Amino acid sequence: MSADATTDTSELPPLHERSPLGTEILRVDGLTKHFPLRGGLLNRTFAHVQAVDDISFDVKAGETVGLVGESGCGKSTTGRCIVRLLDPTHGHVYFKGRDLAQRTKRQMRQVRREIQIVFQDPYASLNPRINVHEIIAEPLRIYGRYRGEHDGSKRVRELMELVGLNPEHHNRFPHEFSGGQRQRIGIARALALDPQLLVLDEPVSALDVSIQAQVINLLEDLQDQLGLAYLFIAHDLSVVRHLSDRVAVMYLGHMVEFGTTNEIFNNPTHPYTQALLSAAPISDPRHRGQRDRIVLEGDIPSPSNPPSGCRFRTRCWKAEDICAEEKPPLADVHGHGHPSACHFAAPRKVL
Amino acid sequence: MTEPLLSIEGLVTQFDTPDGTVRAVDGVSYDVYPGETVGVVGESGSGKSVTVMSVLGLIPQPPGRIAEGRVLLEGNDLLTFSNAQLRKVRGKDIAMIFQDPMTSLNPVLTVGSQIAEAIETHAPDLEDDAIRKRVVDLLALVDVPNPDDRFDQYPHEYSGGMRQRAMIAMAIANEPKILIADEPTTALDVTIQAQVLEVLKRAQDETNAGTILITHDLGVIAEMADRVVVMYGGRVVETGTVEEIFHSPRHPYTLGLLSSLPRPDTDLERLEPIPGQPPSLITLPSGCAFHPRCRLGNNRERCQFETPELIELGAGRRTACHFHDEMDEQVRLIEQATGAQIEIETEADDT
Repeated sequence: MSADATTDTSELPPLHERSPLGTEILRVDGLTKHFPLRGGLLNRTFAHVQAVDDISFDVKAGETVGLVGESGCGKSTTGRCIVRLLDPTHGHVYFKGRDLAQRTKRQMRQVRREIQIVFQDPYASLNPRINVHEIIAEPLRIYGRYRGEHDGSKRVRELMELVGLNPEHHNRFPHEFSGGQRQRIGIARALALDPQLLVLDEPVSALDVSIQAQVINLLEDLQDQLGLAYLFIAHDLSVVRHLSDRVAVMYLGHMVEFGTTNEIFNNPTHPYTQALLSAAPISDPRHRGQRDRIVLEGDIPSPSNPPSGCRFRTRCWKAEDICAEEKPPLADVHGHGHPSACHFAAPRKVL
Repeated sequence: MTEPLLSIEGLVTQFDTPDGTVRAVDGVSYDVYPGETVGVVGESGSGKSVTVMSVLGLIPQPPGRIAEGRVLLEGNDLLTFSNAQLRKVRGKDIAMIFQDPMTSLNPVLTVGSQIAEAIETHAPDLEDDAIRKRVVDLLALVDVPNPDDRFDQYPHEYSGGMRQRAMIAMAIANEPKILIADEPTTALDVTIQAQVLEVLKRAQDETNAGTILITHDLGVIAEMADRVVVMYGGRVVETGTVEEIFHSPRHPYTLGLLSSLPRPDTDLERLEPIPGQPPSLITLPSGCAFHPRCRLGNNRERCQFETPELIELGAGRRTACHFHDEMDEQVRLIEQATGAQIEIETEADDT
């Protein structure tokens, strides 16, 4: 796993060929992103926002890994570091064994067509001045895949049909579409270059419930059809459960627990995961008052001055002295079957 | 049952727009009884917020106009009140909690002084010391830590959840008869949402106010509401107790919302979204506004041309669907498709 852009890549899996389902295509290793806080007369850096701090996980071909947490936990920053919209401060991002964090802009171009991103806000992420045809054709043109008007428009029409848009609307502008349809345009654009991995950054959060379900079903269908891998970033636990094969829970820049969807939802061992799940409203009035509800005290601390040791300790009912002194490793120390970054990890059924 | 505290009867609110007159609220009726929570659900543009804004006389006129209806607060029609009379009602008999606590608190005044102002307005003879004591008690009631110090802090020194709890303190300061909460937790993270909902329940117990809880989140409704009003295209389409709405919906739109929803506590095979998108109020479909998206109606002529009346099925149980007697079958079909999500209440419950 030490390969980077400058070493011999002949033994690595071919970049532009689909990996067999279930083989690792993305490995994030010790990823860290700190944003400097500047101010004063000389605009000096006086502190750092530790948005993401030493997180590691992997994504396999054809699977969905959910990245879940509340505001400021670093989930979106992680997504942006992976596609190199942000440059990581430390750490590595390996896509099929090639270290993206070390690549130059030019070298990133080759990889970008294999990793695409869909953003949360379908209003802000589409250029209002160009029509849908041009929005979807843009990545094709950039990579020289828009070969002539005839073949090019055929591909754009195919992509529109693939995401459930009417191809006859190809000359309309983004403002003529509803939120759900715009999100479909964003997905079509991301699929234009036939990528292997999609980073989905809260793709359904801005949509009404009925439309949200349409887009979720579309994402499931596309994954089956095209063998895509998803890194699904969201704060909504129900959506994450529905779509993900494995789930990583983040809190204040740390990854606190990582496991299969079943392990995280039915056998959570980190107190934060347990609190998060127990706070999620269940749309069934019969559960009212029947649940083991953990209401956390206080608010999320500032990421520019996070607590020492375990970052959750200031709100944790289990915290002891060791939690302030020692950062718990993300490991299965207690033998519960999946890694959990807590000195006192223990299963608790909360749903 | 006792007399309702608040009765909305046949309310119609229109807006003049460049594209014509829009009926944002079209004949809405519902009651609120002391101590109960009425949940109002619906997607964007369903008229759920405009209804309560009309009740409070907060609709800008023009372009808005309340064309028909009555709003009875203990027998008095609020729609006939002068502005001066309404000012005595708002914040005293009826209090409101808005979605965004940052924009509804004045940033240049301390939180304490703003709550004090709410008390002073309706009780001008009260001593300053007594008011301050009352405010500190209120802040303590809503779990604001160190309320005596927090009294003199500004909104920006509060966290998001704390600001929303301070808004609740302000709303219950004059022990209102009716508490209206419009998407009170939509802007908040789930662990913070749990804190705020807990405080809201406590505030309601303290004042025995009848509460109108407006939200698009069915999970929050399932946790909080006693009765539910479902709105679509400016009309009420179904009402019932929270159990009735979730376990034996009698309108296909309600069923569509439930089957669109992923759940944190269960694995569903598939979501069944409502096809199409919420209607624009300017070009509301003829007949039943839901008919273009309705599986049950399946474009039957009656649905296309005849607007269904809201008919009474039992005490407080109402639906606006021509074919509500076919709903059991519809629920079963959806159940099969999603992998059993909604269980029908059977006769077995009576034995």
